[in-house]
Amino acid sequence: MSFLSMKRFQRALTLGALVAATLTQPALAEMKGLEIIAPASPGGGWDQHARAAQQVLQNQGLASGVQVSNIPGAGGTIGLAQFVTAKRRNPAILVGGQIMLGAILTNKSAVTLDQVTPLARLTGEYTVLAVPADSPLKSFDDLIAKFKADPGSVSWGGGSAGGSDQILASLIAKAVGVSPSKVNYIATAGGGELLASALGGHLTLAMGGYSEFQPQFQAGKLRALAVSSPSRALDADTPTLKEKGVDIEFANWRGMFMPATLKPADKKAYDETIKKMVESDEWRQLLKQRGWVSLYQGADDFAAFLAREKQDVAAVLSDLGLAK
Amino acid sequence: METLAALGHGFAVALLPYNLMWCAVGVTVGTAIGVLPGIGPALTVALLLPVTYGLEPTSAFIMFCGIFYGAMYGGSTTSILLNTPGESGSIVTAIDGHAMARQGRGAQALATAAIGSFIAGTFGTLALTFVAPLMVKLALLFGPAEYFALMVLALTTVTAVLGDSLARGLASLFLGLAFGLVGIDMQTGQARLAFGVPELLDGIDTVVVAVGLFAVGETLYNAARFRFESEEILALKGSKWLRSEDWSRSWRPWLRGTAIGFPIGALPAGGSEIPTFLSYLMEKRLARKPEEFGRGAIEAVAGPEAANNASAAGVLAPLLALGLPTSATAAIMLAAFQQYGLQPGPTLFDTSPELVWGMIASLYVGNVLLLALNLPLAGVWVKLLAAPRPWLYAGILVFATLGTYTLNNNVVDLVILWAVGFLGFGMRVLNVPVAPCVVGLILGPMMEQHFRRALAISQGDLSVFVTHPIAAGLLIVAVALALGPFILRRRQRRASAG
Amino acid sequence: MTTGRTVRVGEAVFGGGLIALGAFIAVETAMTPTLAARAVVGPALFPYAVAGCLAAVGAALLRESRSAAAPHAQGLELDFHALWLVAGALAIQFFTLEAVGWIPSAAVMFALTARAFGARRWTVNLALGAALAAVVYVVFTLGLDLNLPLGSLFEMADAN
Repeated sequence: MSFLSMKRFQRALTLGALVAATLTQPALAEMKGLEIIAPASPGGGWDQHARAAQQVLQNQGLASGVQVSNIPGAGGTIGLAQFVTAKRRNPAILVGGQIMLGAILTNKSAVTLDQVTPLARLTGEYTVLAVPADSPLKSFDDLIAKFKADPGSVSWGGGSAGGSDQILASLIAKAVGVSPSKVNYIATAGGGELLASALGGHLTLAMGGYSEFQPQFQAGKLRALAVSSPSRALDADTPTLKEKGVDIEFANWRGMFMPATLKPADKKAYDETIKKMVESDEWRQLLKQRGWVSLYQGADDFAAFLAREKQDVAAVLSDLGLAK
Repeated sequence: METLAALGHGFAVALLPYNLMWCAVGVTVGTAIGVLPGIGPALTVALLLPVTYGLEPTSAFIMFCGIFYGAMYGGSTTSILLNTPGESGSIVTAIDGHAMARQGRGAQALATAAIGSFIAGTFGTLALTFVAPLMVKLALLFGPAEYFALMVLALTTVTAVLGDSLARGLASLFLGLAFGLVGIDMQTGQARLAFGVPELLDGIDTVVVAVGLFAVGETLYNAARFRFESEEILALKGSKWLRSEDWSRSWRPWLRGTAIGFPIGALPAGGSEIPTFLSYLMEKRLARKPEEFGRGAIEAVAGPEAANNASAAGVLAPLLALGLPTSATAAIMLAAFQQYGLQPGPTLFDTSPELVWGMIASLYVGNVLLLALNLPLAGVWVKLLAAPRPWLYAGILVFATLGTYTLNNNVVDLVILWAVGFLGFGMRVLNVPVAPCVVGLILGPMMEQHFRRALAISQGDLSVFVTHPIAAGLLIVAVALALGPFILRRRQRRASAG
Repeated sequence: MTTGRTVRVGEAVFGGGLIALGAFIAVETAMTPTLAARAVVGPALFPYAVAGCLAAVGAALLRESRSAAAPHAQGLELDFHALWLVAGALAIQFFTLEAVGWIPSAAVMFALTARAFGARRWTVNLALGAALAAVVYVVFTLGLDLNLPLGSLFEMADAN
């Protein structure tokens, strides 16, 4: 493994070897010249998933010569549109997720997920609601009491407008009997910027993927009030929303899509390949390192899930006035 | 003292021949990708991440840091020589750097950029070593109100680039602000002025506008003037070394740029352009010959380049001290930590001291290697300008379009580049300065977002900008800087009249 | 060829254009339906402010164009033939880039631009452009695993 990666590494660095070095790969690989498209800039979740899949597919001998391309923009809808319209010689997989579903609606995208074939749901991240360690809000109940008394006084920080975090905030508001349009939602670029505003106490609470916040919980800088997972498997000390009487189970999922023109026989073959990928030890190891939770579903289950999810997201966004 | 011992241990790790080699590889790759427009350190580290799986974590991070710092050094090269800034942090460098290059002082511009980067990188790393936790504590004090005030302060930079006509300078600024409106409004998710073009939903990229106004606009203008005006481009006039006057005019800007760059770099939402703007403004205000600014003043290259590099060191402060990724590169580095099973976050210094201190030590080493690599290269790069002019300009366009296309792999950006290039041509014909437009485009959207966030959190109470001491202080400085020159001039006039 | 007077006309057009742009932004903002989501300061405030500023500075420029303060009062000669050649070169590139690929389209752009700056030997210009584009292609696509377009025409031909 490390020999192979060293070889690839040198290829990437030394220009002299470029022309000559076409890597010889095992002949049994069934996906040749696969292109994985991450509809986002390098560094984000979709890009990391694309590159993780590239790494595991190649190392497990499931595919060869896998390329990752970034086509960023507009919540993934530019990458999606490009994916649907471009004619390609090689097989291609598009990485996407819940945010893309929302972006299609809010951006009134001409291309939707109906024009691609769902291949697999891979992972998901459960959302956690967190407050600074010195916040007077000690529990989820404190938060909801304050929110009900004066909705505007609670600033909910999270990712982009119409994205997963705002959707969850609206669902919670609805569940506790406050109009979603009263949520004082502060959209940020997420990541470090959001965490910094939360740590600095500039927001009442911050919402984001559990794994991203976990180090701050461990260091005692932020306090988790509730998490959107079905059980306490992630964190034994933090109650789930369900335990708190808010009947919501919510994951920011990520998955893979292929072109609509995919033949049924090929679809089955790719479905098998991805199944082998997620069942490999290397993939499991990788999920553990990155703090991603496996929510694997094969092509058919994923298609059914997607149909339901589409309706749910559309309903929330129209409540917010972000989509019709 | 504990820190010194840990750092000493870090040097022992970084100076192992094996790690030294990876550091050298990193800085070379970093310089190369910095010179190539359109790709930055984030993409490069992302590309190398799966490939470095077999490496020791420490070696991999030493290489990544080399790439990160190297890209900052290389970024100024295309700005100075080709007027084509590849990333937003080196836009300011293009203004005076390219003017110097046309006068045959390209080697000096590259040299002051390289030495300034070295000084800033070294002092920035020192600050990272000793005051990172303190800096981060200060950075967390910044909320939306404080950021808004900082943006207003940075906006006063336009007073330094307005040119001779207030109306024309402001026209350029407002055009930039108008460009900044395009795209999805972050707070509501509503599209503004995007006309149903999906590629416009994320807004118009600042690099596209800067390259369009600077490189393409100027190429169009020069093509139209070529027959009538034999404008001279000198590859090298006189020595390629810095004269003693250059040294004496550069060293203060290097230090001041560093002092501005590091703390702002440590701010989670500071943005890499802000320190370069503020440094330019400061140097112009302090310069003995402010009239040279915009026409090739060496201070205007030395200061912003140092600020850019120091802010790169600042970006690492929240990453190492708190595990907060505040830039795309930092986000990738965070993923890299995870790939090696390390827990980034407030405990990183305790759980993996060898890695963290090895990395910090490698930053010092990398800086030395980068200076050794880039100073001699300055003399080589300027030879590019000796190319016959038809080919030089054609080459500039090749690089301008290359950088624009590779930003998003999208042809729409090339169409925008073309249109903005025409605008830049028109502005040159009418003597409208182009720099305020870029300043407006960069600062406008950030200002608006922070302003509205601040008011959303305060529920519409405008007093947040006055009651928060940091915000109020920054706003007062901004007002003083904006109005100061006018009041001063009026007083002088009155004095000379009386 | 441009005389001082046409430059002044240009400045008037610029001023008028800014006023028009301001009006356009204001109208476009007013026509966009506001969303139900709560916001203390909505997405319309800044566009209106920018529109107002543009109109004001446009008016100031219009006034200035009638006074003597216009730039290039003695005239500015422009070679529009060369200008259109460079503009056309860039346009050809973005129209053909994805179909014929990076190397040919960049080479043609290089050659046309060089011609606009007086280099008359087409073969040399094209060869140099192609060489530069090819080096860039090798570095980016092979060296850095990035995708500069090879050209869909060729890819299709290859597939069949």
